[in-house]
Amino acid sequence: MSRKLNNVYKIIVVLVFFGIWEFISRTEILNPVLVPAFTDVVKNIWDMFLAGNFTKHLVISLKRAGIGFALAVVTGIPLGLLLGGWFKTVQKSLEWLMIIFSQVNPFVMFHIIILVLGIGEKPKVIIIMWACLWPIITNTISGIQNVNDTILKAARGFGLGRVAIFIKVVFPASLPSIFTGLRLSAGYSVFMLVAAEMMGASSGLGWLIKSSEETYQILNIYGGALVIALLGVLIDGLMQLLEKRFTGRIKADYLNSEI
Amino acid sequence: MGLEENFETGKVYTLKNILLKSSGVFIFLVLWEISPRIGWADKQFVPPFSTVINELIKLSASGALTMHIMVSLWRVLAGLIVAALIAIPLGFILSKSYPLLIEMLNPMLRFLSQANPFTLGPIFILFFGVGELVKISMIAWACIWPILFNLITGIKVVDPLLEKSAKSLNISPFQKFIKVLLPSVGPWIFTGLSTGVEISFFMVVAAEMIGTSAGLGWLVHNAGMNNKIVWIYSAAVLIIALGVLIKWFLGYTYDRLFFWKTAVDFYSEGRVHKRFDKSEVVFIIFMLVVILGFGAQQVKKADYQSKNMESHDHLELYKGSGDFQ
Repeated sequence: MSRKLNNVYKIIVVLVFFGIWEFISRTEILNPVLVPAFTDVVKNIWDMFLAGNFTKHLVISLKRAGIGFALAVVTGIPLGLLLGGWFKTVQKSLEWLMIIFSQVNPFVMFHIIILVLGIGEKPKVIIIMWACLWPIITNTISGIQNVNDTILKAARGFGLGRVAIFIKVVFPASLPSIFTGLRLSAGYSVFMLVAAEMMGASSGLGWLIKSSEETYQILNIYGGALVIALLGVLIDGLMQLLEKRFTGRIKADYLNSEI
Repeated sequence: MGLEENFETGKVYTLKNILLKSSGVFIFLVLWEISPRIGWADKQFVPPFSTVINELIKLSASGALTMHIMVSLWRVLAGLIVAALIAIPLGFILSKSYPLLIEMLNPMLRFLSQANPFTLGPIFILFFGVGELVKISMIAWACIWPILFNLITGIKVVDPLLEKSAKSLNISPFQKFIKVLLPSVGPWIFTGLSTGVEISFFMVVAAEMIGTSAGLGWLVHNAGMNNKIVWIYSAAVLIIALGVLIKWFLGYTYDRLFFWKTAVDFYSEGRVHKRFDKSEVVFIIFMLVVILGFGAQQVKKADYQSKNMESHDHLELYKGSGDFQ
């Protein structure tokens, strides 16, 4: 089957899914109050867009997720590179502590974070950052430590210095692993965002769903869920695109083993 | 990295190595213990480690902890079983008999997998009411996707040579499934299951903080609402310990179920690959049965308590889930 035809089928499957949803609701197989028709949900989202308050929540949510994720990237990658590349003994001694830290559920610390940072944007950003941090650090470390020995030896054979080896060999070779971590984290950021906003916020998509639940606006619940799922797909697609763009030339055998 | 050397010699757990690896944890705990005592951190916000452990022991002595632990574990396990019962047969049937269909369904499945279980929670409530079923279906939803995607990938990468040789040996489809397919796909399924367990343990705590009357998350939330900061730390220590234990158990089981595979990940250094002993199998099955049976009973007990006591904490919790800011 040609690739193009295959894509057409993929789109058809998606359309069929929403078609079934529409059908089930319109023919009242399931109660249309509990399962509003797909077109109604989309129309509701559109109305909210026009009213303007939806865009506000969306922007606030994206800002929180974006800042949290960016902070995790900015701290995680350098930390991973330092621990994995230069301070291997320190990394070894911190390994068990990192296992413990990565199990720290940021929600558990919610109350304490609020005590320290106050209420507002900071706790949410910190929660998202904490969840995003660990996949990035561990994947960076394992990427940098698994660079293929043969390539390293070849680089040394060419007389490259430590810095040059790092910039030209080690960092590019560990990029695929780093991007695996980034993609995981980007997924976590949306996941955590919604939960954090449901737990304690007065704006954002998670709050929108929570408050719609409390006021029985079922259309809004479906709309919010749909938009958040779409957001997840878009972010994942964007990460995949970036991954392809930056790691396209890097082959799998640059690493000792596939991780 | 020297994984192979470790694998052969098994000399990873030397005293020096253990001392080195535990040094980070040790220093952290010491810092935690002394910094509130000498005034680096506010004693009110950061109680010393020993106080936290002391409080934890007191809590567990009162017997309340068992219920919360069992309730949370039961929810995770029940959700996982539901997810496995849906995802594993679906994955096998779809990708064995309609491989093209799986290819076409892929974008749709990816879209569904991005549907956040927290946002689906209110929708599940519309269908299942506010009981345990909602939490289990939320967890099941989160677990289905890693299991399904891993299974599909696993079936895709089964060595064709193995399948061909099996065919040339003229074995029955059932035997082929047991002897060829299952051993090759098993590690993938298990990876999916462990991802599911880790996500759902994470999720269950968050979900219990949003609205329930029992479980580890409730323990934290209740402590927070009653301004018992030490209890928050105690519950956090308990949750972290359970999380580490679960992670360790999953790795341990992987190495013994699929002893011919070397799982290479960040934490895989020095793991031993061999079969399960019989006693271990019996112990694991016993534990699972205990979680399922005793847990279900504890869930009922928690439900009964929250209904009959008109608990003050519950009201607090409901208020707390509204607006901060």
